[in-house]
Amino acid sequence: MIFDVPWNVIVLQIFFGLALGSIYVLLASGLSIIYGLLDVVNFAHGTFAMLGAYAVFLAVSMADSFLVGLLSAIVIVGLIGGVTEYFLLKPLYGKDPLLPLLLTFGLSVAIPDLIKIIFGLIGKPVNYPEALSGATVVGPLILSNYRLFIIFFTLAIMISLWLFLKKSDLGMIIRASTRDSLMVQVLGVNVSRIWTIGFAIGIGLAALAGAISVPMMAATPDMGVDMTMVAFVVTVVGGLGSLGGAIVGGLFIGLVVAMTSFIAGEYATVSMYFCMAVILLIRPRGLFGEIGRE
Amino acid sequence: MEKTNFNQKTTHEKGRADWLRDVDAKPKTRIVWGTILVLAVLPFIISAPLAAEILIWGIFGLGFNLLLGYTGVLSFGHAAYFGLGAYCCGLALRYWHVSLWVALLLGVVASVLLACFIGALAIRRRGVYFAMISLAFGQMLYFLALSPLKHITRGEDGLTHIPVIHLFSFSLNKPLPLYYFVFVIMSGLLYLTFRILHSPFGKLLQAYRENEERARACGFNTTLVKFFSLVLSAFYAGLAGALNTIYLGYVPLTTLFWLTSGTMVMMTILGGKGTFLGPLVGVGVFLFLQNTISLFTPRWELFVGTIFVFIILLFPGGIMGTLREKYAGYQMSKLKKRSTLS
Amino acid sequence: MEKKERKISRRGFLKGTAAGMALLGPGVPFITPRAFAQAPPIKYGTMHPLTGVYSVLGRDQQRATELAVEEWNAKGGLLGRKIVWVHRDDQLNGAVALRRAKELVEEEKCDFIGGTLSGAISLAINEFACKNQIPYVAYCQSDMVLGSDQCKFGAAFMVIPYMAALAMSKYAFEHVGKRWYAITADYRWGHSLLEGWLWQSEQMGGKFLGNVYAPLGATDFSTYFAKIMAANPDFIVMNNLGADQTAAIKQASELGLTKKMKIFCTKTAMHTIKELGPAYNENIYGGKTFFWKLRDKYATSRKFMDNYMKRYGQPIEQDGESGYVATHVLFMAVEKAGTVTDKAKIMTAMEGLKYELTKGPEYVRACDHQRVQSYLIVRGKGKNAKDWDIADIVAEVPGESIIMSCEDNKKKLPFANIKLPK
Repeated sequence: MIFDVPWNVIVLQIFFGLALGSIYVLLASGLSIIYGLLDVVNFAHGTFAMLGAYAVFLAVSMADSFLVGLLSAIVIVGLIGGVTEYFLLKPLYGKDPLLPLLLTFGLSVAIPDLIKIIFGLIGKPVNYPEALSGATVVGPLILSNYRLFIIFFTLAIMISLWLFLKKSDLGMIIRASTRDSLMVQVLGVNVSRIWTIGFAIGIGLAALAGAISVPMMAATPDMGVDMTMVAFVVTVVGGLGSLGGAIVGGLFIGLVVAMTSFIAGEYATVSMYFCMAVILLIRPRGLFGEIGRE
Repeated sequence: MEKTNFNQKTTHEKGRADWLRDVDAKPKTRIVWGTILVLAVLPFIISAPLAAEILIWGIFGLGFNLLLGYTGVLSFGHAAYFGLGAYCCGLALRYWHVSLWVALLLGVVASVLLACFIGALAIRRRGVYFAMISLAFGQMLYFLALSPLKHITRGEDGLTHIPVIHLFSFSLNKPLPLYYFVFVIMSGLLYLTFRILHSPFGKLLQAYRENEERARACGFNTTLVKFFSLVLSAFYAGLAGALNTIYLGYVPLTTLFWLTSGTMVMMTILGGKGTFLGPLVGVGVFLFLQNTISLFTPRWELFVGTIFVFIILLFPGGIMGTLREKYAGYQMSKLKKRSTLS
Repeated sequence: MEKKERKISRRGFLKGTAAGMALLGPGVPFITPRAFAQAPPIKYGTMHPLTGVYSVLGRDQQRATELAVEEWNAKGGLLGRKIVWVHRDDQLNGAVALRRAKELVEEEKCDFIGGTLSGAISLAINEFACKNQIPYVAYCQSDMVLGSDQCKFGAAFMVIPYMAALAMSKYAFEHVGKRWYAITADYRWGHSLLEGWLWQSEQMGGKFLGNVYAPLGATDFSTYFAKIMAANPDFIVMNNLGADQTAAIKQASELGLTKKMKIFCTKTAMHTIKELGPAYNENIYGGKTFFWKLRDKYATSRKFMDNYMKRYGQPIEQDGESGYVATHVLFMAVEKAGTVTDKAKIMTAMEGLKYELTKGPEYVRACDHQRVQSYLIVRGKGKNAKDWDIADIVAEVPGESIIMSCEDNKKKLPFANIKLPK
């Protein structure tokens, strides 16, 4: 079935798969950082992505700039994330490890309703930014500019994240806390603050994912649920707590979904969970995860 | 506070709410009879359909609590067992025209088999990972039923045209007859659960929850314990699903959706995991809240979600758990007072 | 020791029960008021998705029912008795909906029930109504009038899905072109629409180029468009709705498709058009059973819209209008039958009932209890859209021309013979 399809269609599918995967990467990397640092499975990850989408909507309707929208999404929602961690999650550390998961689950149920009250039931539209509309034509390939933007922007974010974690002091402390929080604390660092910052960064990445997605659909209160599921799938496949895993996992799942929807559309969503189940069974730490985390 | 004693001698410590005790020679079952009494008159206190819903979900919760509350294992995909039980029962009734009991049995057997399958594959995984595997399997089952297996499950439409069951000239799709039918089953299950919890196996579950390594060091096969706990909880879930089919005469696809699992988790936590009546109370309070709040505003999820967040933060023991703590504390202070007098 | 634990639990339980009973006060739903003199009130119960992704449509259904009931009570009630309306949230969930239906019938003792948004749920409620012999008026697009699902006590007040497809496809093949490609949401409703399109395509010489099934809730359609672009159709057919439709059109516009070819959305919602903003341009055609701009054509529409706008401040969605008509026609049938208890007589009175409520003259077909109504084709306005002026009506297809005969509906023909692509 694939063989009588022109090569440019297949390349196009791969292109779209990479764009889809890039959003997955943003979602998963945030979730991974949060889990790696705090051992918290953030069930409200998609909910924060949804908040990022609404933040862009607000920024665009007020300042008419998509760039401002993206920045505000990261900053504002990241701040909300930090506040959430400080007041709601911190009291739970040291207790039953399932409690933070359950708390974030409760948030994922309550917050969308709050958004419905504030913004109403109808979704909010955000246009593709002028500068990024249209397509770049390469031979028989028509590559949408916005998708190109998604791929390169995510790449840039990931590189910045990597540089931050590898080269900066704060990044180093975060990485150390991921390995051994106790040791870091013994060395005199206020680990509690690191956790808040780390959580905020993870949330910021989720918000970015939501913000980038919003021109492709609309900001709706219930858009977060699917995004949380995807984040889980990718993080598990890539490895809970591994940034490299999030990247590889995200792109991999993106390509799987793209190819599946090309060959057999109805199985597109199932394929994602199938991958997750397979990984959990044969290599539970994920492609890049560390043993002992499971 | 915890005293792990696996021999037959009874050693008590006065003044402490020490639930982890030996196998009792004669466990007092008054709590079971009390609950049965209340449930017997429930449909006359609140509406019959609501009571029936509470009872069916209560059965689901009783089993789920065994896994979450007493064994300490979180399954986020339990809707798979509930839904599979529901579908098998429905399919059997619709296509094979079996009797009521056979249909129920088929539903239960299917769920138990699924639990054996998933358990065999996943039971060694810990905490978070197990929760996610169960979620993945639950979702897969849902999406399989939605599309590829559409010709069996009727996909989004759900399974309709399930014949009405009659028992002793009562139609089981009417709330009151169904309620008392389920009530009889529930009474049996309450007693069964009580006996399980007070048996060596029940103590093993709790031992596993408290400290898996120590239980293993004592020589117990903790993997098997976890496995049986999962299968047992699936038994309850499958039965609840099958009963749900009898009641509704219809199996909607949402029976398999992860939100069904999530709702069960919320109900159990709300009522108090690890307490005997926790799941029932949780189911009752949750459904009641949902019903009542939606009379005033469709935004009941905001309230229920917020309440849940507060419960997690302030009263992680849930309603029954917190009540039990308070009562224990009260007993403790009473005892202290008494000891200072002498 | 054990005594204490037992006491805790029992006491705790009793405490909880007492508290629960105290709270029960506000929870006992709807104590019927005793206006309208001695005669006991008539009870009408409805279900709508007030939570979930289609809550905006459920809300319109609820409001429309409220308006209709008020209008009847204002002119003296039904057979001289006040109508008490009870409603429930079905959460767009089949299990919840059925439980609500049971509550409404067995506990609230409703005389008739109505509502829901999902065709799948309407099938289940219809079956329930038939088993319990309670009149049920469905507010949504439903297949419940076809084949063996049809029974004496169910009536449907939107359109059968294939009717929507037939209306849209006829217009498309006549005015736009013959080559078409479809994106179909992968569930029964989407498939029913696709069947309608395929049949019409055969009848009118259309060239079917292909179809992709998108899972319900899909958010990324880019992977489907590559195939479509390669096939180069005259127009794309979208058999989906809600967020799926929004995302699909948004991404079609991103890829420049909305500038190059037309898109036909077999059913489209006002909130979808609003969510898309300028992306829903003049190349996009949508199907609706009702749009507020009908006020320019029918006096009945004008009156209906004025009343609704005055009450709720915004125009009504088609799903609400169905509810309005369903409620009115139900009460008209009761009045005609002169009885509330003889349910079969009420349904007989509804058969063939003619009325003119929100559009032109319409009727409920006797053999299958399907409302025979026109189907509208609207076109987007792109950047020229403002407030609620989001589309223009380009055609109103009469209901008679898009519904199959009684015999055909009973056998689900001709669509049962249409083979859907894999």
